[in-house]
Amino acid sequence: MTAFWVLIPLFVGVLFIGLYRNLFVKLAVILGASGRFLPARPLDAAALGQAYADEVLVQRRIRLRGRMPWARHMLISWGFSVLFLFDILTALFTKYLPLEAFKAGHGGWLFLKFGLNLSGMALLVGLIIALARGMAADRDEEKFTDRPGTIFLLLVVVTGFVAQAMHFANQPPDPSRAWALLGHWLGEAMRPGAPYTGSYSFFWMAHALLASAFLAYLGWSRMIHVFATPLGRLFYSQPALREAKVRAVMEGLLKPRTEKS
Amino acid sequence: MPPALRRFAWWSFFITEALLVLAATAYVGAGTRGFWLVLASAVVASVAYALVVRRTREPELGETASVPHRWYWF
Repeated sequence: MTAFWVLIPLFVGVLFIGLYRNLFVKLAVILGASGRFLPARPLDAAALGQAYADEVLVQRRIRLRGRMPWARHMLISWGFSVLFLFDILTALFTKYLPLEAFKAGHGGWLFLKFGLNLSGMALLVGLIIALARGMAADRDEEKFTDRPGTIFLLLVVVTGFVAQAMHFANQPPDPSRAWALLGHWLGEAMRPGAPYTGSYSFFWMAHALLASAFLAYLGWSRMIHVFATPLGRLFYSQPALREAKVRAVMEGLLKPRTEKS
Repeated sequence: MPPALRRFAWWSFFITEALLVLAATAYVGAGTRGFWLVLASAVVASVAYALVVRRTREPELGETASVPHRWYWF
């Protein structure tokens, strides 16, 4: 467990280094011309809200590519986001601010398990579809696939479910754990092989390390679109920023050509 | 780079690292061997980030390196 906490600041550092090199400096080029990061005064709140709803919440642009790519992307992005949120809530209410309701077996704890497992299942289904579709993708669709990222995230999810199932299988049966959905079903299926001691530790550590390493990977791969695409769409929804970019491009084109030494 | 974006790049990194050290301390305990290892890890990450920020040349508009031409950038 200590090894996990020691590695986390490093992995997140690698994520930020990737974001700086691959996102921030590019943003600087685009936004630099406007002289400010966010155009607070001429902010078009309605356009921003509309862009957020279209591009982030319902992902209308992906819907134009077809029902299946849209369903797959919605399952992955919403599954990942909700899972991340429930992870934070779980850490908060079971470790940092432990409340009676969130102790193992209580209502709050079952709610957290339900949320974690439901979002994890959505993510798992989305990733399996992505992997299957990626293998059968034609050249046009191929450029939108990210097989290494899909496999990486799939490993994170699968190790998480297996570790949870082993943990449940190590404990006496409890019907209320049915709220943990796939974790519970898998745990009951694995019960004949219990107890899992070394293998449970292995899967838990593998899950924790893979999940942390995946954060680092986000900044250095196609997965950077998790940050870049919504940000870009939101920026481009702002007329002030669009105009600043066009003005900068025009000024660049009109600048006299200078020889580089 | 616009100063506000530069400030965002620095502060978002340092606040995240500080929160991670705090969260880790709650698990490993303050002043323990684990705590010092977590702190060392955050320091290494900070030095690496500072070096990258200092050394990364910002491309100019029109340079190929500045063009976010892949779908996963913008």
